[in-house]
Amino acid sequence: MTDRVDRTERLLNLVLCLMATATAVSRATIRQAIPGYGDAPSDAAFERMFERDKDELRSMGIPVETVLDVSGEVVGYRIPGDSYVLHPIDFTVEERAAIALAAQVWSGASIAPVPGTALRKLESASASGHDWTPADLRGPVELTAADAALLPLMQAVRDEKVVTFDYRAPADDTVRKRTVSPWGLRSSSGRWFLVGHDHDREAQRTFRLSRMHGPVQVMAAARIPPPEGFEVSRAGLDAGPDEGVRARFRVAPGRAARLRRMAAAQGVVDAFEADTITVELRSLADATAIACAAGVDAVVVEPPEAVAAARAALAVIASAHGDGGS
Amino acid sequence: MSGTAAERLSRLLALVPWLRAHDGVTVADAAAHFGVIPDQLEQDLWLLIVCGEPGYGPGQLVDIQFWDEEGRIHVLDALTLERPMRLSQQEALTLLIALRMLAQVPGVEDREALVTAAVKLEQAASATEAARAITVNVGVSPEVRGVIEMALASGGATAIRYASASKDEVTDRTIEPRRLFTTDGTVYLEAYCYSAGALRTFRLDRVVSAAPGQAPGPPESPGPGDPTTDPPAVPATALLAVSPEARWIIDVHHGAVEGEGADGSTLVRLRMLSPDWALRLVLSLAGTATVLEPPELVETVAGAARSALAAYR
Repeated sequence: MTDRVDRTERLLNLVLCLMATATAVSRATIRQAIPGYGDAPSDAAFERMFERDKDELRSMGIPVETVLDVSGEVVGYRIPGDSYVLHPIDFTVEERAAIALAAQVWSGASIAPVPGTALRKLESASASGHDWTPADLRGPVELTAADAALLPLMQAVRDEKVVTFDYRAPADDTVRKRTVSPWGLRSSSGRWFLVGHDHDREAQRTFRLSRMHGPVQVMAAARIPPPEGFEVSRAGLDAGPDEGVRARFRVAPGRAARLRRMAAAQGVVDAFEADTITVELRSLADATAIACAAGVDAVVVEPPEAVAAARAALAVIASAHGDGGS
Repeated sequence: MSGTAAERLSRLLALVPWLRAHDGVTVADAAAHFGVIPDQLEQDLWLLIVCGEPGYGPGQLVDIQFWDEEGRIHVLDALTLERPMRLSQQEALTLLIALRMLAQVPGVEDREALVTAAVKLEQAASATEAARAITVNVGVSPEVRGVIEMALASGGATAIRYASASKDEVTDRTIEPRRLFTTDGTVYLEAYCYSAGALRTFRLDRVVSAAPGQAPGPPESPGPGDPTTDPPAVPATALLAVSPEARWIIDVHHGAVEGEGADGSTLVRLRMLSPDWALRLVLSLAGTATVLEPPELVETVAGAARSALAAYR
C-alpha cells in the first residue's frame, strides 16, 4: 500500500503538531488529525508508520519526547520548543567566514547538503541575518571523494552502536560481511579509516572506508567499549600487528623515499639521511612488498626470513618477466 | 526513499527561518543558497503552505507568499518554525572535520578563527565527545605549512626536501611556490623548481621539510610540467596477468578486466600514471602480478628485479 499523502508532508505536519502542544498529543489524536495516517488500513499498519516516522525524526536530531503518566503509561508525544531551537551562537566576523569556508570544503562530496544545511541554520540563528558566504570564497581543501559511509559511521560512533558492512579485504580481495564496534574515525592524507573492534577476529582492526561495499548498517546492539585511554589519533593506521616484523634495510642515499617516510613516521630521527633503517612492519608479506618495490635501493638485511622471502619474490618476478637469471 | 524524505524535511525546516531572516529574497537566490534548482524550491514552498497544525484552518497553516512577478518570497506566518532547529550531530561534525582540515593546510588567512569557531560550535552542538572520536590529519607538518604559507604570500624561494612516491627518491630542491590545489582530499603545491628549471607539482604531504632559501638565479621560462606528477599527454596503459591476491589493484587503480589468463589469473588493463609508477607497483606486488604489455615495462621490471637480486648475493 503506497502512502497517498507525501511522506515529507506527513512528517512536517507531525513536527508542527508535536511542537504546537504544551502537554502531549496522543497516538489516537495523531492518527485521526494528521493527513496521511488515515490511509493506514489497520491498527498495526498505523503503528508501523508512526514508529518509523518517530524514529526518522529522532535520527534527524529532532527531540521527540515520550510523555508518561504517573503509572508509566504513554500519554503521548511532544517536541519541546526549547530543546528544538538552535540558540544563537556568538561568532565573530572571522569565525563566520571560517565556518562558511568549512562548509565549502565538502562541495562536490555526496554529503555536501549536510554541512550546507548547517550553515543555513547558523545564518538564520545569528542576530544579524547576514549572509555568511561571500560569493568568491573558495577553500584550499576539497573533499571530492568523501565516502558515503562517513555519515552512518559518525552516527554509530556517537551512539556507541555496532555496525555491519561488506568489506573487500586488501590481502585476498574477498568481500566479507564484517561486524565492528566502532571506536573512532580518522582521516589521513585524504583517506578515511574506521578504527574499532572486529567481532569476528575479536581484535582491534582498521578499515578503509573506500573498501566498504554497499550501505553501512547501524545495529541496535551496543558496541564493545574501547579500551581505557583509547585515542583514535594514536591508533595505528594498520590493523594490529598479526605477526609484526621488525626489519632492517640497507638504503641507497637519496633513494627509497617510501621506506624513509615510513621510518620518519615511526620516529626515526635521521630517516632521510641514514644508510640503514629499521622499521616495524605488520607482516612478512609487507616487508617483502616493500623490499621488492624499492628494488636495488633498499635491501633487507634482517631478519633472515624477510631476506629469504624478498629474494624468493624477486626471483619469481625476474623469471615471470622472461629473465632466465643471467 | 526514507533518506530523501528526511533530507527534504531537513531542508524545509532550515528553509523557513532562513527565508524569514532574508525577507524578500528571490526564489532563484534562495534555491542557489540551498543547492537546489528553482523548480525544486518552488515545490518546497507549495508543500510548506499546505502544512500546519491540526485543524488546518486559517491561522493554522504555514503562510508564505511567493507569487509576485519578481519571484520574491515573504514568510507571513511561520507557526513554530520561526527559529532554526538545533544542529544535528552530523551537521556539527561535518563542519568540525572541515575546520580541522583547514587549520592544517597553508593558505588560510585567519587560523585562530578556525580554532575558536570550532570550539564554539562543539560546545553549542554538545559534540565535544563525538568530535574526540574523529581525527583528521592532512599529513602536512606545521613547519612545512608555515614556510610554504610565507613563501606563497611573499613569493620567496624555498628549500625543500621531497620524498617522491612515483620515483621513490628523496631530493633536495629550491623552489618558488606558486599555488595550491587539491584533488580528492590531497593537497598539491605547484612551484617553479630551480633544480629542474621548470614548473613542478609536489604533493604537500610528501614535502619532508622546508626552509626559506636562496634563489640561485632568476627563473627561466617555465617548461612543461613534471611528467611524473602530471598526467602524460598520451595515456599509456599496461596489461597485467593478476593472481587473486593482487586483484585489489582493479579497485584501487581503476583497472579494466579484459579476460582470464591460461593459469586462472585475471587480465587487467591499467592506466599508467608514469613508467616509474608502474614499475614500483608491479615490483611491490612481489610476484603476484606479471606484466604482459608493453614490452618496455616487461623489460624494466625484469631488469629491476635482476639488479635487486644481485644486491642480495
